[in-house]
Amino acid sequence: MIAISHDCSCETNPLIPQVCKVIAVTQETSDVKSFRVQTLDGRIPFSFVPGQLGMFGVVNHGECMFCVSMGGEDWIEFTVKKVGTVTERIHQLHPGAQVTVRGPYGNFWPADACKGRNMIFIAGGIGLPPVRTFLLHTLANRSDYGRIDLVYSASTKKDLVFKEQLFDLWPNEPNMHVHVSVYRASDDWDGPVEFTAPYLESLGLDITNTTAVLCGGPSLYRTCSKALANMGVSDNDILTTLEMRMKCGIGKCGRCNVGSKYICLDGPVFTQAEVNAMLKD
Amino acid sequence: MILKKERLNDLLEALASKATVYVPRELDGQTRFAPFAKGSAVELGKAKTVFSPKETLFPQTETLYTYAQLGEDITLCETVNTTNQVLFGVRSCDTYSIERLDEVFLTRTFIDTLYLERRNNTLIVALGCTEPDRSCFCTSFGIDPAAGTGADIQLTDTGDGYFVEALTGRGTEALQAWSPFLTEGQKTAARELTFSLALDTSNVKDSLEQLFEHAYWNDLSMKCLGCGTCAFVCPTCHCFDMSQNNKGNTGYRFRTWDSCTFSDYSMMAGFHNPRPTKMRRLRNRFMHKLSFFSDRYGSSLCCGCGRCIELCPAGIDISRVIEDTSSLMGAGAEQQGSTAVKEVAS
Ligand code: SF4
Ligand code: SF4
Ligand code: FES
Repeated sequence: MIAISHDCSCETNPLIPQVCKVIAVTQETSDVKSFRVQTLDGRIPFSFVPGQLGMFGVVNHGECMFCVSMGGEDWIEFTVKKVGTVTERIHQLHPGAQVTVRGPYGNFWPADACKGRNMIFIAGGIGLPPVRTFLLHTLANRSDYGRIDLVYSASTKKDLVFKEQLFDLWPNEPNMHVHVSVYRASDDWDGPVEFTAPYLESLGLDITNTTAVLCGGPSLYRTCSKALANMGVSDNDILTTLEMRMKCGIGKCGRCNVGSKYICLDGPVFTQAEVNAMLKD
Repeated sequence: MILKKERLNDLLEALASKATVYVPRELDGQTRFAPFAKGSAVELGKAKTVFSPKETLFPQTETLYTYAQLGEDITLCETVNTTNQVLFGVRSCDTYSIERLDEVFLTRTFIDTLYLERRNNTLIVALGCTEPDRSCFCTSFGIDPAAGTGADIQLTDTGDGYFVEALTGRGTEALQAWSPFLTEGQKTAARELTFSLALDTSNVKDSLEQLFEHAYWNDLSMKCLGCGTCAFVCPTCHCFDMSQNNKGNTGYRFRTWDSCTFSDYSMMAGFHNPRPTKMRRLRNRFMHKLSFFSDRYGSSLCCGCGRCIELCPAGIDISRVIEDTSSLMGAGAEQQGSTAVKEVAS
């Protein structure tokens, strides 16, 4: 029988969640809400490193994996787009509701390895929440990083998440530049109307000593990694977070494999070079 | 020591008074590991059982926890497994498979405690094979059909009895309770077994990786029904789904066996499916068995038991996949680059 080295944080069954409560709900867009959760006795459900995942659910409806989108002293936040039955149920939650939470899972953004570099964060639609923890980390440790660019797009103005940070807070951060585009024009939008990849290329950003962080749907990912290549960013300097269906989060259920990698254990964060080396299925 | 065949039932009866003793039994015309009860016929003569003993450690459906809701308040109650069990008459292919399940559930950062509890409460008694089936090819993966690695006790058929030896401390301890049923005796020389299937698996991992984009997968998957039989009878397939059953204010969350050949296996919310075709799903199955698993764990996730070969309704045969890919490689197929794979929507 195999000698067991128990290096995980949990003494009990890792598939059993903690019962937590929702302490705040923010409506980000018509179909995106953020949920702040903490344990019933007012603690942070788990400590996490930016980029890590957590399983968030409603006990009689199931659970879904999300990248933690923000964390405080005694809470963590998940930003959830309404796309299926479980997320639809999550959207009905109000402050005080009890939910299930387990985690943290997976690897994290290599914040230390990026020290001393310029950062370009690129996200589309609901791709901004997974990137935000890293962005906030660089802002909290401002002197460790150089110039920071955020390139963010969504279908229309009303689909942009975190509008307050996007338009009021981040543009005022020192040496940070926020670039926002939408795909479809509307009367209340006077900014650029362009897809993310051409918009990114048109900005003429300096890419020396720069790491790009990319998160979005499959087509945004494809087009923007190409745009970055055109700009001369090497595959080792592009970081991304992959999405796969997940059930267990702990490398047992086999669900989330891409080639021989399990996204829940080996990911979700990979460099473009690592993604290129994977057998695509 | 020798266990005379006429004492077998007495021994099993004695063991069954202390633990659930799973023995190969024929139920409704199919053999599987089922609890021994006084008078049950034990099928130790056949090579492998139709269903593997996997379900005794990793049940097809298993409750993870129960829950109750009272107003806003939720309470969860963990499931614990405390039943002692003996797996009796397990073949080498299946002990090899249990070692693989141990690696999946008990190593690599997280410990699956439900599996651990069952595993800790399980004594494994292996039985050396005397007569392989035509679909058996365990030796192609370097498995010795006479020696069940990972078992606690090894039995070897001597004709009118079984030679009994402990392989682990737990086995030695367990044998104390066996002594009233044992007599002095020697092991007979292992019989030479002939396998109709003998494959060279030394390059299979490389071949599969190089043929990843080959049209072979398309042709092969055309026949697949996506029924999941191969995964369900497989002793090493460990994928599971998780769900809940809700009744009013109470319910339970459970896991069930799953199969990567099911069309909704990887389906994500919003209907995005990273493996939208049968070709991609079946290819993933064989890649996982013969390549991906060894990247992670250093061994094959196929033990050559041949169960899927016997039961696949479409005649998809993993031993032929190994042979076909090897001859495609021999014919230099990988040089042709990616043969335009025309995917069939399914
Ligand atoms: S893949 Fe088939 S032959 Fe291999 S272990 Fe599974 S059931 Fe047996
Ligand atoms: S048993 Fe055969 S038909 Fe059924 S899913 Fe497996 S390979 Fe396909
Ligand atoms: S989600 Fe189960 S293995 Fe990754």
